Formats: sequence, structure tokens, C-alpha cells
Amino acid sequence: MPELKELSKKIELIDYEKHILAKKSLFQLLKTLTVLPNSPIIYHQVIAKLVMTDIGGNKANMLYKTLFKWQEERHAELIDLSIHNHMIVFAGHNNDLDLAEEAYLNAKDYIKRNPNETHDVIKTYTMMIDALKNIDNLNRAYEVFLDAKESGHVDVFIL
Amino acid sequence: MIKAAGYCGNMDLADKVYEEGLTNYSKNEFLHNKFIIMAGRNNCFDLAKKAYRNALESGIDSKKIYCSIITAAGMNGKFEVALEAYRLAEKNGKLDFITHCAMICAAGKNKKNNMAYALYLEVANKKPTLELHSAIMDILVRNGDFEKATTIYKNNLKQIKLKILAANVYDYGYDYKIDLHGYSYGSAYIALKEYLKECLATNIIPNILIVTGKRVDSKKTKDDDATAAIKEAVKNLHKEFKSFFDFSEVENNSGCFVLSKTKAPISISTYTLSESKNAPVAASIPEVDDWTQILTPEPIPPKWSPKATSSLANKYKSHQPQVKSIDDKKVKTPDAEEGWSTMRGRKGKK
Repeated sequence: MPELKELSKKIELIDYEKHILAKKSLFQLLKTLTVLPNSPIIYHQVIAKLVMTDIGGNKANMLYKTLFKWQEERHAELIDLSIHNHMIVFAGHNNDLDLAEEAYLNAKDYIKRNPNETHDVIKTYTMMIDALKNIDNLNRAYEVFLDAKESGHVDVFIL
Repeated sequence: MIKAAGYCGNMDLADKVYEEGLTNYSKNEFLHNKFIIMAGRNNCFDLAKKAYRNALESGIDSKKIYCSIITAAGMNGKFEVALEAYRLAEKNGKLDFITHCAMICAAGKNKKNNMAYALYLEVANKKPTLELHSAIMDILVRNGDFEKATTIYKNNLKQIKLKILAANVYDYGYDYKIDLHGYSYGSAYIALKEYLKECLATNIIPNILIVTGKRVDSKKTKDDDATAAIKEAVKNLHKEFKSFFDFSEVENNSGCFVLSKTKAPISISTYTLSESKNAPVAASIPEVDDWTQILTPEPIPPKWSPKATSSLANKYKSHQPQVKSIDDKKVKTPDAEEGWSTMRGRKGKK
């Protein structure tokens, strides 16, 4: 789909260091998202950029919630694991334990539904531990670590 | 998990996870390195030394391990161990400018200022970098040796001099922007002080946004060590120059200050520049757990745009000593050069 490719390129070109410029461009993009094709990649890109710009964080959260609604309406999978992972990171940076737990649960649910997609699974646990570290909740972080061990998703980076 | 436990101050848990990790990953540098950093940070030097020995016994001979143990030893007053590791790194050909910086800091923290300075001179002649100058200036300024620090500043203007950037059109109300990423307490203090003196000498005080580090919403997040040190420098300068400049924190972002002319009716020409007498000296050197923390890659500044300045900026544009464009601002960082990425912050890679 050429339009999708164009849009993807445009998003990648947004420089997240120029926070406010990025905000403006991203918000313009967000307006067009409602008519976008069902592509998790695009949403992943937009959420990743929004999270990185800091100031777009709330919009990222809103979009994350809206995606679940759109998923139901469109009967299509719009949220992949990397989107959940980004939200976990965002929650960690914002000391938002509830959001971290919500995104983590959604991620685990996704992993359960897609057992063959092993890509990014260890990241989910690693990022959740890191987020909980930021939130100063070490006990919960250790629980997540034990979860990861139990599910067999352990590598040196999670240690 | 080791990092999480270490940050939360629970080295028992970190040690438990480390010991578990040795079963399968004893030859993995990452495992030992993380543990050394965390143990050093938590003043558990015996644990750091244990991991260092384990790493050496496992045949891991890497710059990261040497750098981490030197930093940990420096922080914990074990200068001999730092020196021993430094010599071993030298013997094995594993020295690079980050390890040199670590050794300079370790020497500074252990009151071996002459040695730190000698090492600085030796290395700076071969490869001068902002980080190297920052490390030695930090030691000098914290010990009240402003004269030597200022000499280093003046001799190395190419690396240390502040880049006064044109403020972006969206940075509402500011004429210029100064980004202090990569500076230490000492280098930020001297560079900013020299700039303020220049402003006073020319009687031009623009409205400047000073970025001290990563964005910090004080209600939610804490400063990292590098940001805290630079903020301390800015606050100490405020004490010294408060008759002439106002420094105020940006709302909801305590990582930024706004510098502007004070509203008090004081004639700038009456100012006499007292050098080190009134200058506040920082209480202590902040602990830095790894080098990527103080060597954060700098954000790319916005390109100059004629629309980007306010009328005040236009008025003063011709007087500005240096308005750098995007291409002038390239500082190599360990992340970029060595691939030493960490899990810290948004720029870290997993």
C-alpha cells in the first residue's frame, strides 16, 4: 500500500528531539488516524513517537485506549506486543503503576493468544521490571521476574 | 532485575539474582558489569570486587568491566584497587577515553588531585574531549581551584565553550538556548560563568533558556545524577550573580532554567568581577554509576530560522559571540562511539 508506506516514512522522519515540532506533526497525523487502514505498524510507530516526545504521553495513552475500541469495531488486530511494551515504558517514566499493570496484563494476554510470536516477549518482562524500578516497587518487580522465569522467557538482560 | 534491585538499594536481592545468573551466563560481560555498577553505587565494594574477580576468572577482559570497577573503587575510597585495575587495563590494551575519565574521577574523589591533573594532561594532549575537560574541571572547581579550571576552559574553548543556540520558534519567549548536556558541575559552572561575564561586559543580557539535562517533572520523577550536578552549578551561579540575573525554573520542567535580566535597578557597569572569593564550592562530587549517564547524547538543536527569534533576539543578534548551526554541535558519546548502550532513559537500548 503506497499511502501507508508514505505515512510510515513521514512518521519515522519526525525528530522526537524537537519535541514541540514533533507534537504538532503527530497531532496532525492523529487526526488522519481514524481513516487509516488496519495496520498495527502505523499505530505502533505513532505511539512510539508520542511516548518519546514526553509531551505526547497523554495522547499516547488516549490512542492506546482508543485502539481497543477500534479493534472491536473493525474486527481486526490493531495492537501488537510492541505497543503494549511502549505503554509499559511510558507508564514507568510517569510513575503510573495502574497503567503499567494494565499494559502488562494486556501484553500477557497477547502473548497467550499468540504463543508463536516470541519476538519482544522477553522485552515485555524486562521493560515491566524497569518500569517498576522507576516506580520504586521492587517486590512487584521481583514477582514479574519470577513470572518470566516460570514462563521460560529469561535471558541475561532480564537478569 | 539486578539493576532494579540495585536502584532500590536491595543488594541482597541483586546478589541473589547475580549468583543465579552465574549458572548460565558466567561468561557474559553484561551480567558482571551491571552487578559491579550496582554494588559500587550501593557502597558494597566487596560485592563489586567479587564480580570483578569473577569476570577476570571467566576470561572477560573488557573496557566496560575495567571502567566500572575503577568507578566503583573511586566511589568507595578504594583508590589502590582503581589504580590496579587501570594498570591492568593499560597492560591489556583496554584503555580508552572513558576509562581515562573514570580514573581521573576516581583520583579526584580520593583527593589525589595532582595525579588526576597529571593524567588529564597526558591524555588531553592525545585526544581532548569535552568529557575529559569536564572531568578535570569538576575536580578543580569542587576543590576551589577556579583559576586552573578557567585556564583549562580558555585553552580548550573549541570543546567546552557554550553553544548559544537560536531558540526554536516554539520555545516561546526565549531569545537563545544553552544546552548543558555532557557538562559536569565544574565545566558547566566555569563555562556559564564566563558567558555571564561576557554578557555583563557587553551590557547585553538576553532572555535565555538553559537546559540542564533530561526533562524532569518534579512532581513525578527525580533528577539523574548528571542533571542534579548541573542544576547545582546553575543555582550556585545564581547566588553569585543574583544582582544582575534572574534564574527561574520552567514550570513543570525543573530540568530547565530561564535566565533573564534582573528587574532590580542596578547598573551593570558597577559590577566588579570577583573571581573565586565569592564563588560557592559544591559540597560533594555526585556519584555516577555509569559513564553513559554523564555522557548523554546531545539533542539535535533546531536549525536557525529567521522567524525563530523574537524582536529582542534580532536586536542583539549581531552582538552574540557565537550562534552555532546544527552542524557545529556534534559531540561524540560513548553510546555512539563504543556502542555502550544502557537501559537508562529513552535513548538507552535494551
